[in-house]
Amino acid sequence: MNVSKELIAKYHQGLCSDEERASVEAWLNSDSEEELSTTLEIEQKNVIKAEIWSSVKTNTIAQSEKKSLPRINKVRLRPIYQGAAAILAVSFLCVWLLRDGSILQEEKISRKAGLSDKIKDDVNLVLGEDSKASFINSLERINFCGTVKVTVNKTMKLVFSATHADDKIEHRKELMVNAGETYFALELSENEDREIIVKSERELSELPPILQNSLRAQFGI
Amino acid sequence: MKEKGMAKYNVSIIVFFSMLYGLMSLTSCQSPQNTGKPAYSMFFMTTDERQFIWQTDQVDSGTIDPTKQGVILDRPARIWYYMLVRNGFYYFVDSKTEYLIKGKIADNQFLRLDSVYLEGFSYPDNACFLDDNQLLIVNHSVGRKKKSYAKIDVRDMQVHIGELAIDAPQAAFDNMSVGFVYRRDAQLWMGYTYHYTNSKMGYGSADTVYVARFSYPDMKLLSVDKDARSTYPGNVNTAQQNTFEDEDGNFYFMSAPGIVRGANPKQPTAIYRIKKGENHLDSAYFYNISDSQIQNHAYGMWYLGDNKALIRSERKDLFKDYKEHYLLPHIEFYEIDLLDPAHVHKLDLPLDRGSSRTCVLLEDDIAYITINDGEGNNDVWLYRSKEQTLEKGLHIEGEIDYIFRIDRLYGE
Repeated sequence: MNVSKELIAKYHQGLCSDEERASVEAWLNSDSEEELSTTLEIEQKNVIKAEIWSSVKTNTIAQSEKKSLPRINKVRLRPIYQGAAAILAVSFLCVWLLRDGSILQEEKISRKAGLSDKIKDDVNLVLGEDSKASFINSLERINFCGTVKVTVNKTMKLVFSATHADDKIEHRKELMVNAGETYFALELSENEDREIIVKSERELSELPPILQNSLRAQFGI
Repeated sequence: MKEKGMAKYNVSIIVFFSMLYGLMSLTSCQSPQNTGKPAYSMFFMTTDERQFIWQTDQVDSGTIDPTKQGVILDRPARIWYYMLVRNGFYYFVDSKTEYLIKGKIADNQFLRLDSVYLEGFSYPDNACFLDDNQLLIVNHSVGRKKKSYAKIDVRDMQVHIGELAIDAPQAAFDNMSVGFVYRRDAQLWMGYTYHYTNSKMGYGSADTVYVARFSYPDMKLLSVDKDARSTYPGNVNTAQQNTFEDEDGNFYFMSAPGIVRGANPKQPTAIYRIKKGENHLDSAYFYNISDSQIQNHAYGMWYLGDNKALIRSERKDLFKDYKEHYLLPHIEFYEIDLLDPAHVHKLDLPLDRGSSRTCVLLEDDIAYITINDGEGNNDVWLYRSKEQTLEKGLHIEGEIDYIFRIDRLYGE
């Protein structure tokens, strides 16, 4: 059963049937990333950002798994692609404006279907502000800088790797991750001290409030 | 014959109800929850992360096991310190649904009585009662946007949501927090500061305590005071107390620049004051805790009366990072005199653990201090400031990891 905002309102008013109550409580007690039927705007934005990055990395990082993150930072779209992207964007806008309401509805549905397909991957990445990340399937490794939200669909030992842009020194953290859980990885440095923090969603309360605040602001959690 | 039969039934009914009454009396002896209006509430988390509430009339002696005598609060799984207790009711926001829940304990169960949807208030910065019925909640950080507040009349859960007229974070600062809310008649003060989190600078805060003054109830911004000697005024009020009003109506609050809050450890933890009848910070008053005999950052402050305050401070030599900060026992208690820096008295207690615990309750001349040292010594200690004496009270058995809260169920 889909858990919607309306169903949650019914639940808190004590108006749910036994079956509905069981569904809401199962959802409340789960840590899954299954969203309510109304998806948050920031989530969509970040998922789309992740998809764009993912398509870029297919031609770059995935082909050469030993390449370091600073190289990832140098990836730039060539002018010809920028031109093509601009034409596509204008065409899309024109089609969008010319179509009637029913077509708009179809577009929304297909985007939602795209999101659920994404969840079937081993790892789903959502990027924070000014962040980059890629998942190297063969190494079960995430290269990232900044902050990344990682939803895992396979239990495995996952490596989080961040290479600092200045001195190219790599920091790593290995963690057993569980299928169905969401993790947040942060690369933090202060003076000479650097660290990678990885916390599951249920462990977020352990973080200092400043870090919690920042994650909530970036990911709408 | 018929009358005789009826009499026999009557006797049976009387015997039955007498036995039932006796049974109920016995049950009520075992479970203080059934005695009407218990005086105190305690909130625990076990080592396997279950949450229990236990209500009682007595915390100065005896032994309890909350997993057997308390009431389980099974969801949300981690309320942690985001809870308020007032007039027999419990209030918390279910972070996943963003509903403010009002509940109580009855028949050995936690009953959800009422709720209201507070969109964008999943982990409130600050929640406090402005009077018996008005609950004011400041929402969690929303990035570089203005913060909001919700005022809820808890009698019917009617809510008014408004935007706070204080500046949103800018430039390097990507979030902000409101540490304290204090109402005095038709004015309301809020302590706040700004924070950053990024891969180049790590995380930390602006080096300034901000105190905004609003008209109440219309919430118009009247003034903002700034003081760059410390940061993160008021900590997180539901995590532990950091503010109070003394007998003369002077308001005191503590800043929290230590690593588990403001994360500007080079600035000192300090106590500030807004004097009775004044609208601005008392710039002449600045009690530097880190530079006192305590020589550490602190995160909790309670008023003992007669200008004395109880300070809950860390031991920087006993932990390495924020994780060890909440896991390891390293926390000490001191009595200080707000007007005499020479008076610092360390309480002879076991080292405590837990970065965020509402662990002190003040009543009459006694401070009830809960200690959980991580080695099974989970106790309530009674501290009498006038005599400077300590006495061990209630002992808590069972697999208890943290004592999150001790509250008076009724009254202030």
